[in-house]
Amino acid sequence: MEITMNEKNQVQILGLKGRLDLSSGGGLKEKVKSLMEENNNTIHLNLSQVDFINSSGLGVLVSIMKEIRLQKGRLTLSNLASYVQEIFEITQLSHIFEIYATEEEALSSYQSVSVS
Amino acid sequence: MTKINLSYQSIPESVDLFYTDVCNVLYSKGLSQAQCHRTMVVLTELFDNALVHGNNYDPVKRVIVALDVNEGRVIADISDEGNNGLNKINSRPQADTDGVGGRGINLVQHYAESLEYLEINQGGLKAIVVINYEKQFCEI
Repeated sequence: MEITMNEKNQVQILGLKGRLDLSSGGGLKEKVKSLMEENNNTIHLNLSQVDFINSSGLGVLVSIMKEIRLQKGRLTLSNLASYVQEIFEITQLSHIFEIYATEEEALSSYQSVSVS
Repeated sequence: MTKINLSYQSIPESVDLFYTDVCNVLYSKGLSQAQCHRTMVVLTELFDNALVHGNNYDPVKRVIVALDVNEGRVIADISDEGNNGLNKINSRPQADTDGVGGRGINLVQHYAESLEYLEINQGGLKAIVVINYEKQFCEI
């Protein structure tokens, strides 16, 4: 899995490319862990180029979400392919994660939260 | 009809090899990206289970895959060389919605037409799964 990093308005934006599964999940977990060690607890994951996810990948995302919430941070996801979104619906994780249609919508939500 | 037999060493690198091998077969048979994704979700769950829980990443042990792709269906046998396989399957914990693990079997049951487990070779596990990849799922 390739991970690109960017920052906008203090939100760390990670663009994921490839598969999120048993073999690739560890790399993402490590990347998020290193961000959190630098007190970056507001993280957005853009999944537009994730072409495969299974339960191992979901497990990594749940684990990351729990760590971030433990640190009073926030995790958002966006740009899920329809068949990736389907996996979140089947497992009911769509109710647990904050999922946005686009990265822009997700980043706007950070702005509205900080203003209010 | 395409019948393929595959065999993998029980090492982490086999996850990538299995994915690539099977995806290539599915795409060559004309499956769409969504059909391939649903099929691979099922097959990788069973493969990972054989690799991790069945063979416990023992490089001496193999995961054996027999794949039969015909019109509208994928039939796969995925076998490990582990111990006490049926008991492990029957005693696995249920998934909590916000738990880290345990969702694999739910996904398999959602997408597969049938799933059967057999104990083979004194404790190894063979999963036999049928996937109707032309089945329509609700578009999200």
